[in-house]
Amino acid sequence: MTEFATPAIAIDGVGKDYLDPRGGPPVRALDGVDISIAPGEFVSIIGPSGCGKTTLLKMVDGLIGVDRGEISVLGRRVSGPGPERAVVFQSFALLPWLTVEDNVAFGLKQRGVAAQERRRIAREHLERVGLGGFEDKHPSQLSGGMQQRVGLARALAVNPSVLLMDEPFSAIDAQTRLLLQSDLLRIWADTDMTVLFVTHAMDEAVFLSDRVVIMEPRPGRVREVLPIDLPRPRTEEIRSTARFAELTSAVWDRLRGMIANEDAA
Amino acid sequence: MSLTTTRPVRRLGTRFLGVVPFLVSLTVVLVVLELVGRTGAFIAVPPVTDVAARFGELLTNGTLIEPLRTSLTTLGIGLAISIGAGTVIGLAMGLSPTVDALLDLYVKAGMSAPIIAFVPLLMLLFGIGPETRIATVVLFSIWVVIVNTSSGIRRADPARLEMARSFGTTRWGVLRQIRIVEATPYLLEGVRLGVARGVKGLINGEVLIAIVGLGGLVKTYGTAFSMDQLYAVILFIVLLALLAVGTASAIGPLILRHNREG
Ligand SMILES: Nc1ncnc2c1ncn2[C@@H]1O[C@H](COP(=O)(O)OP(=O)(O)OP(=O)(O)O)[C@@H](O)[C@H]1O
Ligand SMILES: [Mg+2]
Repeated sequence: MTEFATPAIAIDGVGKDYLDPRGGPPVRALDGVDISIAPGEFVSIIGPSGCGKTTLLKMVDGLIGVDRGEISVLGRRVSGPGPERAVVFQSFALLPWLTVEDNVAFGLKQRGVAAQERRRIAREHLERVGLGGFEDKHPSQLSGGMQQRVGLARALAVNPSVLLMDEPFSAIDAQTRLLLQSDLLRIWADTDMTVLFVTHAMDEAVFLSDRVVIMEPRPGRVREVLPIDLPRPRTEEIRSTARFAELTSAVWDRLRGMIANEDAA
Repeated sequence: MSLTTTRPVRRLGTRFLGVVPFLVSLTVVLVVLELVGRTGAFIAVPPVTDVAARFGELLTNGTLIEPLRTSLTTLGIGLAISIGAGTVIGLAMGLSPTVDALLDLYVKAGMSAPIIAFVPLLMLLFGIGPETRIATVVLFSIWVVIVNTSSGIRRADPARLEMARSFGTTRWGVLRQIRIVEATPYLLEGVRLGVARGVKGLINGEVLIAIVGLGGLVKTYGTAFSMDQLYAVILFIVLLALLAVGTASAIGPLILRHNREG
């Protein structure tokens, strides 16, 4: 792995235990996780359900604290949410009573950006995610795919250095999902954002990422980090190449063992 | 196409038809009461037309002015206390599990306790002045405001709360921008029910504590077995309660004004 002066995200020996709500012994959700992500890198995390992907992402955002180890973003130790990070949520987490534009402006408003300026920035980012003209609609008037575009625009609007995405496209139909993946890559390529992307879809991880982190459960650990050597910019055609198929099946090879164990257990 | 154009018409038609059985039953009840009343066999059943005539007099001859002023003042102060304090207590319970654990039992007890039984105690505490009547209104109405506020505040979608926290929203910001908005229907329902219960408390207090206000009129006419006047006042109180609840329903959304589409 390449060494960088300051990683965008440095996850260092991180562990997390959850108390069992029914009073059993604590669940070891994560243990000894080390991941270092370079500025501008696109890294996906994949692994069986319950291996701690969401927990890890929330810890990088500072929504929950680490029990062991340390996480730094841009060289600064994470102790809570910060302005250089933004999250795109699996359930979109839009506010249905606000217009699309006000949803996109939500983060800006929290930062005290003036109304006029918020409006301008929100519109600019709606344009960027392909929703120009939808400013005054409400989220319920949009399809799932469009709602998540709003979620993406809301995160982009605060101009984050680090974008955290937790299965952002898992609730979206397969065709729309492919479009969203391409659009995300296009948007990311225009920035120097670092992206940490959690997914269950192997093809999605391969298509998007520079590296795929494969995790295993109980306790959640990094099993392997797979570099994705597909050229960029990545277009739809790349999905039908032999290398794409090889890499996807390489991910599946690592996962299959864990899921088979799961089924046997 | 034809379906979309006929739908509103049909809905209006259905709504109108829905009222018809009520109108029929009301007419039957009124006619029966009138006939029974005309026989003069039961002192408790005066002719409906007499009640209507007394109601007309009540509205025009000035008998109502002073009692109405007294009652509305008591009700207004009592409800202001209930809605103000009830909302604050409800917010505290909704936001803090500790406060909730501390107060929950008392609130549940207050919801179901026969408040009327506490009126003598209130008289000991506050005497027979307006304070006791105001306290009665408060004790009748505050619990439902607390319960609706606290359960409304707790309903906020955890994913939205997390989203707000991630974007650096302050605790106060989360309360204002998310929790209260999501709780709005519950807050409004709490106020509506609180107003209805407050009117009950008002009349109970006036009848039991001091012969003043609308409750005082009820007591006066009731003791004198002046049934047509008694029913006219009761009719007025019921209409007043409906008006108060209606006003609360109309004003509430103006105060808690959010575009809640979707
Ligand atoms: N708040 C919590 N309290 C107790 N246990 C929890 C809590 N959150 C997560 N866990 C447990 O920690 C482990 C990791 O959960 P996490 O949600 O991070 O997994 P995940 O990899 O995101 O799973 P999925 O793929 O299903 O989203 C699981 O065993 C889960 O049951
Ligand atoms: Mg998860």
